Amino acid sequence: MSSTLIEQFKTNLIHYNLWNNVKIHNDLIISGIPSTKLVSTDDSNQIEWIMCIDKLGFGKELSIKIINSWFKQVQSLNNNFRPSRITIGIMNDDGTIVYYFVYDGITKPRQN
Amino acid sequence: MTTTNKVILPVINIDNDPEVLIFDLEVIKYLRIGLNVLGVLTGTLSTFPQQNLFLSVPLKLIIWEVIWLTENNKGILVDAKSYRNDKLKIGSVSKSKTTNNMVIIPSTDNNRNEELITKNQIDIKTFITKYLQNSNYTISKFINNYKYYKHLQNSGYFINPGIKFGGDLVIYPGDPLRYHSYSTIKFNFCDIDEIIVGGRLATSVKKNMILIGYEDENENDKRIDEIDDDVINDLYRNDKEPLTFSIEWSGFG
Repeated sequence: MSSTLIEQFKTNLIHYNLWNNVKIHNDLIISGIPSTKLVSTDDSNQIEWIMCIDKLGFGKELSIKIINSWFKQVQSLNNNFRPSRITIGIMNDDGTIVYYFVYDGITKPRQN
Repeated sequence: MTTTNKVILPVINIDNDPEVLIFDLEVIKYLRIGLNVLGVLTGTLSTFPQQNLFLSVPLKLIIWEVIWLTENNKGILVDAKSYRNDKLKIGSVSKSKTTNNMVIIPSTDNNRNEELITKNQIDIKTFITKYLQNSNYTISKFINNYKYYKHLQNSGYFINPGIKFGGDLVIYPGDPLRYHSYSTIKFNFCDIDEIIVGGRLATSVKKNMILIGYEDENENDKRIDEIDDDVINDLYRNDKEPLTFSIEWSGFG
């Protein structure tokens, strides 16, 4: 039996990226805590919110309106606190997953 | 109304595809240092017309810069050709290289001729109408895009056109001669592929990609025939700020 998109993301986060406390909230949103902090300027590893997208099923355009609605949804799941960033997970039809951060507002790029 | 504290923005070719081209170095310095307005240097060397490493005057102002300078009463649009003809008629053209010559309309000069400037002034409505004749902008898209520019400009960023990095604009935290660019800007939306291509390219050149837009895009599909006062009022109105989101490769996965 094939698993749903969101379950495949969960598997990827737990077993490939070694995250803890991975929770499925609905068809779109997964939260979890990475084993190390993801950005060097973070204080510690923190809860991350992943928006799980099927690249082929999503359609082409990602608009301001959609991203803002994601922030609102996460806010309602997160004690009414709007996070400074969320993560988009994009899955291709070959099972490849890529993750991108989306920060609220204009931020400086990360210095690598 | 006096024009003395305004920079003169000489308009070339007002009837068809108008441009603002500035030849006056003092004005270019003032725009850049005083107002964070960069423009694009377009002049090349007559002996090597194809090189593009060292570009010089004239400085071409992009449309958003022209509107912003006009809105904030920093600049006044003047029809360069009719201004020159008028100047010839009254015989005030000297042979001097930097002032009063045929190309430069004096902005910073003591002897600028206010009467001629006012007489040959071009209304911003006319300028935009002519500018848009050859484009397929809808009114609402044009207005919104200007507001995105205005939001960034008023936030203190230096702004360049963004085509080199696949966006609509590129922003810098300070003068681009001294600072590395932070971000490419996309208006309204991007596609999923663009996140990946743009996110990767932007990250590898130490930038991020920023989406800017309004949540409720009031799409008015009216084509532009004539810019009226309503459109200008909409352009200049300071309603709510656009939303911005910064996108960056996560580094895991």
